[in-house]
Amino acid sequence: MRLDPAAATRAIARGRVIYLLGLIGVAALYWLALAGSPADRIQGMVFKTVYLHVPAAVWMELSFLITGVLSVLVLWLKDPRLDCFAEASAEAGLLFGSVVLLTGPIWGRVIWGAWWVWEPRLTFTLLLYLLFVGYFSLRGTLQDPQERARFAAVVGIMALFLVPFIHLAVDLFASQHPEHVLLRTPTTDPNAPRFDPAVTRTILTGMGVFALLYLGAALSRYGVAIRKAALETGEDDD
Amino acid sequence: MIDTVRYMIAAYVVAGLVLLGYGVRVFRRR
Repeated sequence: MRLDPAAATRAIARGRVIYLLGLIGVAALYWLALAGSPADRIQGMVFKTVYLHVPAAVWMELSFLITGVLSVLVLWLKDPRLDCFAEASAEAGLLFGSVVLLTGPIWGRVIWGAWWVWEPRLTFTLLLYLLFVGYFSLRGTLQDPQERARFAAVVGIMALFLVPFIHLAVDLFASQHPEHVLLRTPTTDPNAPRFDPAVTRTILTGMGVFALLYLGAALSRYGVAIRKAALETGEDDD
Repeated sequence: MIDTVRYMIAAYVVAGLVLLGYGVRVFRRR
């Protein structure tokens, strides 16, 4: 399978530009969240952590899901480029997971009175995060690229089971974590909470900003992985 | 009564540092 080092260099350059745009987006999101959105009537100002926590959580789930889907394809098609993007997406997932696991407890300290509770969503999010720390440890120990791709894919596939479980945990179990509120509207659900339009607008902006960060992080990491894979297989010599 | 503003600022600072720190990694890796 052709691994093009020139394409890798382009991916790294494009990833950097997109990540930089994402960081500019983060600055805009901060301004929108802190100056353009109201404090919550009950939770006060700490409610505003939701503008970082929720988009980061959604993109953490998507990143690991993409790794999971690509891991299935790695085992099936054995294309090293799929393994490179699976690895890149997993690293983006760890980045967003770090934001989720740092902002969540700060909110929890104020609203729950505890930095951490061992309830289903938090526990399994931590497990997912540690699973992918292990994913990278495993990759680091294996020298043979094909063996590394195959072993890592088996771990990556676990995301396909864990992510839906984490996403639905608040509906399936007696969970302390707040329920899904973003996609509920008064027309479909009479009990849906009514948000100030500024809240919805800021959360959706956050989704877009984290999409840019994902693309930038994953694309540049993909380029690095392709370059490394080309070196390993000697395809950069020609 | 907990000062919720301080906790909110802490969350924004921590998240900003993580995202900026990763940005440094994005630009430094070869």
